[in-house]
Amino acid sequence: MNKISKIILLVIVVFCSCSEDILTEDPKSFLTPESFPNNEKDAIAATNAAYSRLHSNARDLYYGFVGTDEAFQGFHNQRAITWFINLNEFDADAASFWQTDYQGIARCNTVIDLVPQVDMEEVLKQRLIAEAKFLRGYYYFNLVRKYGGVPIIDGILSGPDELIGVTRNTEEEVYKLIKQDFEAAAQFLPQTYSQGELGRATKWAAIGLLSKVHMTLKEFDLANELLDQIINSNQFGLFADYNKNFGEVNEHQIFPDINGTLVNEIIWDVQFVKDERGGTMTQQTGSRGRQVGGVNALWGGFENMLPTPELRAMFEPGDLRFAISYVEEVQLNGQTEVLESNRTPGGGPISGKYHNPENSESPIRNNSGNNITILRYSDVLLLKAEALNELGSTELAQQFINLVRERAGISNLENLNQESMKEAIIKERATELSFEGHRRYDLIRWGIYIETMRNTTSTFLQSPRENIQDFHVRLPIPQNEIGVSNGSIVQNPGY
Amino acid sequence: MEIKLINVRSLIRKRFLMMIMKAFIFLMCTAVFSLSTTNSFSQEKIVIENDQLITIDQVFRIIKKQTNLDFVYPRSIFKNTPKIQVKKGETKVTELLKVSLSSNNLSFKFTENNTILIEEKAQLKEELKQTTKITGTVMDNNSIPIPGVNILVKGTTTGTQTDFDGNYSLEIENTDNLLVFSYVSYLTQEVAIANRTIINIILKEDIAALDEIVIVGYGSVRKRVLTGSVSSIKAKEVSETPTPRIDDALRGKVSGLQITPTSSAPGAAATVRIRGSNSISANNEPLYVIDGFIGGFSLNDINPQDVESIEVLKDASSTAIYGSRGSNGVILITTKKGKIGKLKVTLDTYTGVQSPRRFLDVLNASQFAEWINEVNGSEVYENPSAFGEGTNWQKEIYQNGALMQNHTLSLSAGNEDSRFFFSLNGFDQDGISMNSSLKRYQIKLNSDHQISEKFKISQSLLISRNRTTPGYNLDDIIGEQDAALQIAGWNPTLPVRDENGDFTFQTESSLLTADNPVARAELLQNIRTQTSIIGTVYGEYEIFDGLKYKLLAGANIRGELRQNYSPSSLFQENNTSGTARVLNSDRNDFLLESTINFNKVYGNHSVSGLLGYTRQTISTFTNASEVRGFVTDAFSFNNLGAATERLSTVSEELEEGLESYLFRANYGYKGKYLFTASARLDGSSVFSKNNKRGLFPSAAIAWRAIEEDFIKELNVFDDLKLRASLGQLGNPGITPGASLSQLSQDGNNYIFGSGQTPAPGIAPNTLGNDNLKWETTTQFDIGLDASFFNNRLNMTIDYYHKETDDLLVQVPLLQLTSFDSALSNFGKVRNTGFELSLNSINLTSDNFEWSTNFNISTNKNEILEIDAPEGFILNNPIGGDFIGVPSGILREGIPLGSFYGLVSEGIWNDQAEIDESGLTGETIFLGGQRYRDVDGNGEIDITDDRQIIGDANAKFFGGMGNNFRYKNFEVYIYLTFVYGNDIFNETQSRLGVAFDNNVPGSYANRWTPTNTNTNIPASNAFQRSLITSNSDMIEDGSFLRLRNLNFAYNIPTEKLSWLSSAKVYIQGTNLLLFDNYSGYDPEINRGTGNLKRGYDNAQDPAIETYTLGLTLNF
Repeated sequence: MNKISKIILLVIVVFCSCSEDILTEDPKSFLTPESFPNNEKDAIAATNAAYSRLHSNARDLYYGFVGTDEAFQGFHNQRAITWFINLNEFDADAASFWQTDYQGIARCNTVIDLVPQVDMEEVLKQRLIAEAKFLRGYYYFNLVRKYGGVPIIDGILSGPDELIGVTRNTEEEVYKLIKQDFEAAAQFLPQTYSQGELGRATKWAAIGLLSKVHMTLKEFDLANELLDQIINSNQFGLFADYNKNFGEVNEHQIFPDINGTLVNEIIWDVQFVKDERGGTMTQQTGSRGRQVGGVNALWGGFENMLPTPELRAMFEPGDLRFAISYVEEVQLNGQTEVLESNRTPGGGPISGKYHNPENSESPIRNNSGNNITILRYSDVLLLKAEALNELGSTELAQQFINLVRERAGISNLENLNQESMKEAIIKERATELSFEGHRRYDLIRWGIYIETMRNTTSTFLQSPRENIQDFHVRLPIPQNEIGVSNGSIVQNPGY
Repeated sequence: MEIKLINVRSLIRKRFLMMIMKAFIFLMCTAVFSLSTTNSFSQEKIVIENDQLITIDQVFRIIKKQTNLDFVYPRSIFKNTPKIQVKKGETKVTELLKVSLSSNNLSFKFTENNTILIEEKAQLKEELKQTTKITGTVMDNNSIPIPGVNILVKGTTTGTQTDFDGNYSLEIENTDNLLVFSYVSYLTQEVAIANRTIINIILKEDIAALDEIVIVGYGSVRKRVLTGSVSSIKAKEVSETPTPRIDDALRGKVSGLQITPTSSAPGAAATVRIRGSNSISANNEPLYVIDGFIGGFSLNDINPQDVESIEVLKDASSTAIYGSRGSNGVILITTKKGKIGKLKVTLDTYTGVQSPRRFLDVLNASQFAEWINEVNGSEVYENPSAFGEGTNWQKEIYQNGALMQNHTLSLSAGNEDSRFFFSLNGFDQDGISMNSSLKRYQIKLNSDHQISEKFKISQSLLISRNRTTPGYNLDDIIGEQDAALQIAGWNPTLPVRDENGDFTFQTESSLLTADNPVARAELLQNIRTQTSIIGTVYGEYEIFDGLKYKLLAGANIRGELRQNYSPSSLFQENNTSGTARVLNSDRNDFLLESTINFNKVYGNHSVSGLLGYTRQTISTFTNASEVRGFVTDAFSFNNLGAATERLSTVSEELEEGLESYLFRANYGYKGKYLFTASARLDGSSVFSKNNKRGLFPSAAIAWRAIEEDFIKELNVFDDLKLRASLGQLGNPGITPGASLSQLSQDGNNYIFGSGQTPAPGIAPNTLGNDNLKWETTTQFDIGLDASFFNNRLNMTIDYYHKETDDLLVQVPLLQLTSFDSALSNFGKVRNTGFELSLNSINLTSDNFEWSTNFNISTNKNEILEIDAPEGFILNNPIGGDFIGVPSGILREGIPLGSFYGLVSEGIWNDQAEIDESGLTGETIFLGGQRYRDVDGNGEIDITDDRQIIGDANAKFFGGMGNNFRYKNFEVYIYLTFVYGNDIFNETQSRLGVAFDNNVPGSYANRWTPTNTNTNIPASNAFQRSLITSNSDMIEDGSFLRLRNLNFAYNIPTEKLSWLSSAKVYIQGTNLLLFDNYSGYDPEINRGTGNLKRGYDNAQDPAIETYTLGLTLNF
């Protein structure tokens, strides 16, 4: 007995000496969802995260104009220039929009569902929720324009199982949500922010994007009304110098309009800053260039977006916008260097909108601070002109398109009929907004995308010209979604 | 009373002994009188637990314990008397005493009063007889003296033992007799005296060694009663290869164990697979246990020369005791312990030179210039032929004659109460790759102390510091470099240095580094230092006979420091003025184990068992900083504060806690039927909320058929044992936090205003899984151990069948969830295989000896279930970042490691061929690569025309060693082989892209309109957009390699009293290779991941090494 009790005693001593629970995980280097968002600071951080997908979403720009008559892809990467045309359901680029937009949507849903319960200052709370609704509307607007009707996820998911059997909603349903979100956002968003908060969604951004939704749906009267609100707010104007819309140094600044009044032209843009959250546009739009001074990095880019001869031809003589839209030579160390791509025969000229020539430091690698403008005032004016023209007020429309032309240094349009006004607007939107990500959406919205591409003539566009099909107005749904959903999500026709 | 003493060496000693004897008898009698034993005293039974060789003292102790008698006797009387071999089982006291005392010529008898009378046998007569004194030394194969060897005159009871120095001295009457030398785990030898007075003997190890102790999880067993599948490798074999790492040393030496190096860089780890790959994404490396401490150490910290034995636990029965960490098999490393004997000093030293075996064939400078011109369609290089040979960057980077040296000094001594082993090691290796090296310094101390009869403590401690400079490669802070591309593929038209003596650089290619390879190897500073302290200490207390309690505490504390500096003298740092990075990590791993061991024999039944409770906590803290912009390069990484720009600062804490209960029971009946059952209940903090604990059971049964009379009567076998085992094991595969949803700022920050600092954004970046659990492997094993020809041939055969379930995989999710995938348990893989190992002594005589060991294994792998929306998963993109064409496939019914791609069928040589085929597709043009239209739709399509084009799994693999000894000369030859595996030559696909880099030399013979008789496609077929995985990239990986060739000479040391043995050897490693592979080496694996098995994206050429070594024993 004595021996047994000794054993028991020993065992007890050892076992008790370490009864502390070591099996429960207590992570110290990351947060878990149980306690988030918990306070005002968390609520702001959750909202900031909803903006963060705008960064990955900057690829929207590619889709917006590469493979249209405005831009083509150079040969630097020896990738087919049919990018965005010769697509299939496995295409990673086509799938990436879906992925990042839904990531953005999930982050918005977190704010919309959870921030109302956070104990915090009420005005700020309403603003954060409105920002999230604005962003959700924007993400869905991007989705519906690319893919057609998509599944609506408008709340926090309990887990992957909740989506078993999920199907695509109709375009109408998606647009209904988008309108609701923009309308709700417009109601609670402030008209402007302090300097340090610029880039957050404003009331005018919400109204502007909502008007674009109406334009897309051909609800011209509703669009017209909203565009009026922006124009009549007197918050925005056109910079006398078109180029001030571009370049890192000009961001968040007001400049004189042609009357010398200081105005703001940018309504909403995606914010980038070099190193910390750098964008890729400088490199994407740069041509490979010749080696300059033993360094190819100065103007050397990926040639992923180069302006077409078609775009060049659209500029009227004397158009002040041409120089930055179609850069053929650069000044380097006091010398003029003609841009020529050694990869893309006949290529070389680039769009200068994302380059910062005044910045002596090489802006190369996937790291430029240039913001990407989503909506600026000249876009609003051109939309206004278009809405009026569609509503039959061609005469009235003329005055808005001429505001834009006047700043560009080209002559006013006069006495156009509705049809020729429409053509003028189609051309004007290309020359005014080139490389800002609008062309494809515009062409599709006007129903002339396929036709326009088939009518192109430059060799750079040969492959899209010959291969484009009617179904190319929509992107393929990523195969992952069709496979994982076991077919409850249906592919777009043609793919 | 009759007392007989024979083993006396002198009269003085005899008298002395007589005196003691008398005292002993007196004490004994008084002791016996004082005892109240019964009449049946002489009939009382004594149980012997194990077959063992014991001293008379120990015999008395056993009797004392089991009969409650207290013997009192002086110990010294039995000094230098032979030990007694006692057999396991039950015996009577009378029998035991008879056996024990007879050999010492003492006799005893029980009186009616239960007293013992010990009588001297005819002592006076003996003294008058003529005796001859015989002396000598007994040593082992390595000329190391063996103390305690039993020496007996055959057919008599006369005998003695060797002393600490292996010396003996024996007086005998009849010189016609034979002497019998015996010692545990050595073959017993009979030698005719033949009138000699000096008889020196070398005892040979008994390779059958049924009494050999095999280390198993939480204990040890005799090989005879082992029920599991365990391979044991002894010190000699481990230290046969001159290498700092035991994984390298074990290549090809153990059946079922496939070891493939990942690089020839100093200290590079190998891929180690025990019985195939179980897992798709989880770690498949075996669990390493050193002296009872589980896992978490670097093999760079283990000196192969300190290793006593390595046990490879393969089946479920032997690994289940390691539960959730056991499914990849377990490798137990046991380091040397102090042995009884006076101070033994061993110096082991070798120096080697290493050289690259072969280089990749690439174009020379003028061919390269011509190639670039052709690819670009313009004159990038004027007058290509003027460049001549240009620079061969491989020859610039990889040096012949890289030095390696290793010095180990070890000390060992001890007596019955205390023993120690101490060693010092210094290792210094230069890699063949410029500026790569490994340096290691170590102290090892193991000691054992018998504090009292029932209580012992034991400790093992290793302090190790190693420092590697990866040179050009394995740049573990920046990320692994694509060495084949950046060295072999670097621009050959540029010299190493220009006319000003500055390093050249290039700016044309974005694929190649700007700085030339030599500049990078010379200027980049990259140091990785690890300091480890691994120690265990345990106390063991025998609570009562057969029951022991053991408490073990262990710690493994490892600090790691990585320092990296890219100086501004590199072109890549032109704009950044130097970039410095420092990473520190501190890992603390503590283990506490409490075990109770029971071991007892009841007649024919032997029972033993183990119960245990263990806790282990592991925490790792890592921090790293990266800064750039220095005024001077002088600071290197030593003054981060001097930099103008902070790039990143990160820190992370990871914690893991494990709590386990252990159980094992063994039962044996008559040593013939053996049963083992074991289980481990494992709890771990990394397991998910709903699966915190798992139970891992196993059972095994063995039948020692040799114990059956009908088998014995066959006279074929010396041993025959059949084994079978079944059990379940786990593979945790989950890192801390993996089951939890994690919120972070990664990628969730945003910029507002013109601020330069991001506004913090927080969102879930990964989705957790509350049901996440370990992978479970169920393994069945059946095996046979047999010995033939007087134990000269030993054979072990095993067949195994493993199924691994609940594979940890990233299951794709709907991206609607905002996540791409979540870690889940899904899928099943099966491995089956045979293993055979043979050991034989082919020839043995005094002067010549030849022995062979051979092993061969097969493994068949098959994916039984995977989760993939389309039924398959394509992986392993090749061709670099821009191309990313998948080259591997996972699908049900095929093995892990299947290559996937188009089938090459030569090239399109003329237009008629193209027209005739009627095929269309991007790849179809003159000089283009001709692919098979697998789906038969008339179009060559890189998606639809793919099929399985190769398999990384070998049909069989193994090794064969031959040992020859002639007098003082020894030769050792070791061959390893692998047959039937394919290699995906990713190097070829990486280099072979028409971009800016140099390409394979075969491209000089490419198709052109004037050179149509070739297999190499035209230059435009190598455009990036046309690069795809195809069967031309698959090569046969079979090989036969001369792994070791060793000549040794044992220098005679009889005349040098201060030296007990000396051996000098010359050794070659990787001297010969027979293979069909075009890359650096067919025995290669890039990285240790499962999915990349069989891919060769070359890092370094393989090396051959010549070593000169010396081993001295003092």
